[in-house]
Amino acid sequence: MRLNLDLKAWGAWLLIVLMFVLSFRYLRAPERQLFGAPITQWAQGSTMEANLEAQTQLLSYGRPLIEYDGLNFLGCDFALHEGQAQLVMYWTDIQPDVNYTAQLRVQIFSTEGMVEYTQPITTSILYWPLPKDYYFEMQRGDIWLRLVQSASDDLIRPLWALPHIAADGWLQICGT
Amino acid sequence: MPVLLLLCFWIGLGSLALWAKSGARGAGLWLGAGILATAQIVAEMLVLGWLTAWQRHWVIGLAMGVNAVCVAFGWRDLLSLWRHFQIEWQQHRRVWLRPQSVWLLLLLQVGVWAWMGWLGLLLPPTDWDGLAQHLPIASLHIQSEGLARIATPYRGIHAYPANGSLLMAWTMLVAQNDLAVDLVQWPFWLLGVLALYHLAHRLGVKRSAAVWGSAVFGLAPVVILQARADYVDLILAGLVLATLSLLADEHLPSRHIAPLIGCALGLLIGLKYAGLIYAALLAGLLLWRFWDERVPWRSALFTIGGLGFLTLALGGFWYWRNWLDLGNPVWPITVAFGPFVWPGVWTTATFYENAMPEALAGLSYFQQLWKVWSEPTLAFAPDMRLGGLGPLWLAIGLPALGVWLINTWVKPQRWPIRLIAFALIAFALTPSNWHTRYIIISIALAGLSLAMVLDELTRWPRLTLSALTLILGGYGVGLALFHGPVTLADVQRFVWLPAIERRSIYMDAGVATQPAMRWFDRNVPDTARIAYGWNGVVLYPFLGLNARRVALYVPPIAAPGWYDALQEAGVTFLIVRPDSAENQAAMLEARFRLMYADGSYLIYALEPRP
Repeated sequence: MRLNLDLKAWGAWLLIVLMFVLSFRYLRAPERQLFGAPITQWAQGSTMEANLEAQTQLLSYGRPLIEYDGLNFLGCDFALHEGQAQLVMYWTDIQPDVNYTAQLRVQIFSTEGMVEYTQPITTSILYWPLPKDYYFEMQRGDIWLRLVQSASDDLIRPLWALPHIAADGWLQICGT
Repeated sequence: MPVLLLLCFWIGLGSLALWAKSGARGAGLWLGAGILATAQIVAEMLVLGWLTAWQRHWVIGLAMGVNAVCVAFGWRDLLSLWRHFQIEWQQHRRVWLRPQSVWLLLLLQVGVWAWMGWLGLLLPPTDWDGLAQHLPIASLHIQSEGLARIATPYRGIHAYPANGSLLMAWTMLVAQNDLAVDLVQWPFWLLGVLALYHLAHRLGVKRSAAVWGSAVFGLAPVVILQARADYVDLILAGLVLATLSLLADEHLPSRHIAPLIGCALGLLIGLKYAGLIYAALLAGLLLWRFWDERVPWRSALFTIGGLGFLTLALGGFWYWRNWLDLGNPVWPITVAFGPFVWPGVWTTATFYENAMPEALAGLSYFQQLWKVWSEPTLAFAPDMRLGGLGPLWLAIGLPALGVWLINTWVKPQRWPIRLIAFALIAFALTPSNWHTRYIIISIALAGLSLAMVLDELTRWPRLTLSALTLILGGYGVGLALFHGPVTLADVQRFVWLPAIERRSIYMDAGVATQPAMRWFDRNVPDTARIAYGWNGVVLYPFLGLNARRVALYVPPIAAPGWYDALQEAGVTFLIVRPDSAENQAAMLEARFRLMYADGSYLIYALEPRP
C-alpha cells in the first residue's frame, strides 16, 4: 500500500509554521522558561548532596530495642559519606553519670572472622565505619554489640532486649 | 544476573526460530519473536504456578527445555536467516550506513535506551503501583511457590489481572534478586518503537521517515519514565503496537499470524482490565483481515477457536478465578447489563473520581485534555497526571494527526482508516483518558502521521521538520531525566552503594522514603515473618532484601485471640497504619510491644512462640 497525503508546498510550510508556533507556546510556558528549566536543573543536580545522612527523627520515633541501666539502644541505621559506608547507632535517655563503652563486632567475609571496634557512648548518634569486606556479593555480615564500663571493662547486662542475648553478653543487632 | 541474560538470549533465540517458520522477516520477525517470548514466560509461570512449583530450577529448566525444542525445530530457518542477513549486508551496507540526519535521532533514542537500562540496573524499584501492588504480588507468590490467592484486604493485590507480576516474578526467580525487576517494561519500549517503524514502513513510508515517526512514542517523557517503573502500561503498549503492526503486515497470511495474535490477546487481557478493550479491537481487526482475504468460514471458525483458546490460556486465569471465588470476573469493578449485575465495589467512573488533579477540576472535557497536553508542570513521573506526552506530541504529533485525519476523510484507504479508527476508539473507550499513561497507544499511532508527513515533504521542509523533531525530542528527554523522580545525587549515591544496599529507602524522594521503612530495613532480620494491617500499607519496602520476609495478613479478632493467632503463624513484627482497625486491636493487647511510631506507621514486636 502507498499513502499519498497530497501535501502542497504551501500546505507543508503552513503545517511547519503551525508546528513552530505550538513548539514556542510549549517552550515559553512559565514552568519551562524556554530552555531554562532543564539546564538549571542539570546544573543544580550536579552539585546536589549524594551523601546519605542519619535520620535524627528516628530518635523520637523509635522505642528501645535494648534497655540498659542508664541508657537505651534505639536501633541501627546506615549512612554514606563520600562513598564510605557507615553504621549508625541511635541511643537515648543517656544519664549523665553513665560511662559506658560500646563494643562492636562486624563480620568480615574475606577472613571469615570478625573485626572489633570500641567507642564511648557520649552522644545519641554514633557512627562506625563499615569495612569493604563486610559485603560479599549479595550478603552483608553479622553485627554484634555489647556494652562495658569504660573504666573497668565490666560487662553491662541489658535489663531488657528484643534481640537474643548470647551467654557472653553479645547481642546480634541491625537486623542481621 | 548472567543467568538471567543468558536465559533471555536463549528464549529469544527459541522464539525467533519458531516464528521464522511463519515466513516473517525483518522487523516483523523480531516483533513476533518478542510476543512469543513474552507469551512463553507467562505460560511457564502460569503452569508452574498452578503446580505450586515456582522454584528456580524448574523455571530455568522448563525455559531451557522448551526453547531447545524450538531451536531444534527451527534451526534451518535460523541459519537461512543468518545467510540472508549476510547477503543483504553485503549488498546494502553502503545505503544503510550512509550518513543521514536520521542517525542523529537514532543516536538520541539509543542513548536514552542505554541510560534508562543502566538506571534500571543501578536503581531499586521506586514507584507506587510497583511497590504497593505489582511487586508484592510477585513476591508473595514466590514465597508461596504458586498462584494460590493472596489473602489480603488490598484489592489491587487480591483480584486484579497479574501477568505483569508474573514477568516480574520470573526475573526475580531467575536472577535470585530484584536488581533487574524494574526493567521488565524496558524491552517493550523497544518493541513499541520497532512496531511503529514497521507499521509506518508497511504503510508505504520510507525507512528514515518511519524512524522519525516512532520518536513521538519513543521519546515521550511518560514512556521514558515508564520503562524503569514496575507498572504494566508500557508492556501493554508495546504488545498492542507489535500486534497491530503484524496485523497490518499483509505479507503475512492471517492464518500464520492468528496464533500469535491469540497469544498477544491473552497477554493483554491478563495485564490489566483495560487490556480487554485493546484485545476486542485487535480481534475485530483480525476478523476484518479474514474478510479481506476471503478466508473460508470453516477455516476462519477453526482459527478463531484456536485463537480463543490461546487468549483464555494466557489471560483467562485471573478472570476465571475471580468468577469462581468472588462471583465477578472483573471484581472489584461493578458491571451491569440491564438487570444482569456482576457486583463489585466500584464502577470505573467512581474509581477515577478522586484521581483527577485539582488543576483539571471544573474544566470542560476538551479543556482538560488541552491542559494535560500543554503540560503545565515540571514534576515528571511514570504516573504523572498533568502531562507526560512531551512537546513532540503537542507541537508535532497533534498537527500531523490533523493532516492524517483530513486526508483519511477526503481519501479513505483501508489500513490508514482502520488504524486511525483504532486509535480514536481506544482513546474514547479508555476511562479517564486525560491520564497520559493510559493512552500512550493512541499517541504512538499519531507518530505514524509524522512519518507520513515527512515522507511527502521536499528537501527543505523535510530538513526543517526533522530538525524541529530532534530538538523537541531532546527537550522531552531532558524533562524526563532532569525533572523526573531520579536526581543526579541519587545516581551518584547508588554508584557508591554496594549492590546489596541499593534499596528504595535510600532514594532522595519517593514512596519508600518513609522513616519507618528505613528503620524496619535496618533493624528487623531479613528472615522475619511479618504481619501487616490495612489502610494503605505500601508493602514491598517492608519485605526486605529480595523480598525474603514472609508477609501475612491476619484479620484482627478480639483480644487475646489475634495475638495468639499471629504468634501461631510465627509472626514477630506487625506493621500498621495509625488509623487502622489493626492498630486499634494491637493497642488493646499489652503483649504487642510498640517498637516504632510516627505519623504514618506503627511497628509492634511480638514475642517469638516458645
